[in-house]
Amino acid sequence: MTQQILIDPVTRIEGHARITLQLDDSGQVADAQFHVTQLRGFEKFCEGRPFTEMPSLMARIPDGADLRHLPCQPPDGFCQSL
Amino acid sequence: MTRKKLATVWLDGCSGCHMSFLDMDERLLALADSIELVYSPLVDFKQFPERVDLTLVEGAVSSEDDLKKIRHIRQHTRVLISLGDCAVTANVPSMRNPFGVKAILDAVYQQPDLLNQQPDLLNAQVPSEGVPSLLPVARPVHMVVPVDVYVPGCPPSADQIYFVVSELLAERQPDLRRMLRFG
Repeated sequence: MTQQILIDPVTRIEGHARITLQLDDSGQVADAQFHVTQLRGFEKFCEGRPFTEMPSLMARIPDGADLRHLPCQPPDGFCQSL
Repeated sequence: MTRKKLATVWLDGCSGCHMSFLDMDERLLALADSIELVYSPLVDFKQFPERVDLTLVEGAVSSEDDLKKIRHIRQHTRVLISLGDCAVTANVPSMRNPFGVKAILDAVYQQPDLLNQQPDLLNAQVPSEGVPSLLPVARPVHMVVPVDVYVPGCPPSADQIYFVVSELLAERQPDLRRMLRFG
């Protein structure tokens, strides 16, 4: 008999996910799926917005990484030259 | 003294409010004597307990999962706290609201411009199994269930979170008027 193992939620990650494992008749893993269960749509709603908003929006995709993202903002001189 | 049961949960947010919670640093040790962390993404418990004294909610309510979770949590929580701008106003998650769910899913999973060039690209499909449906709009927590305390900020500072939690542990209503800020 096939069996499904569900890990929900996946802990010890920063973010939202679940995992489903499908076992075959002999109890071996036949299929494994990793589901990302959160979607905000940055790909769409960033379109057409002022580019100066992008660094602060980007830092809010995952905040666990904000300190790494924000230094990547272009310096003032760079912005003025655009 | 019995320790109060504290839970934290993230719905549709970025976890920044939880990072701010951790930024309380050594004050977490001071709190540890009076609270028991019974449910949180920071620990491994997968079931929300029957009775929780304080629950800090980060994030907006954006998916069927979020809705189910927050309704369950409200039923089992004495004091519910909206933590951060996404919980208080729906903030960044609500930026998708004007477009509608279909346009968002198409832009993310189908990428029409890319597919025009390479139609068989990764067999791109909008997922239908294993992921919760998005609600038509992302909403702040209080539009879905009653909220007792609001802590705005993106994220709220560790000082604000410490103040709110300490006041609530002392059974006082926290007055944040002197500590509020935008952004």
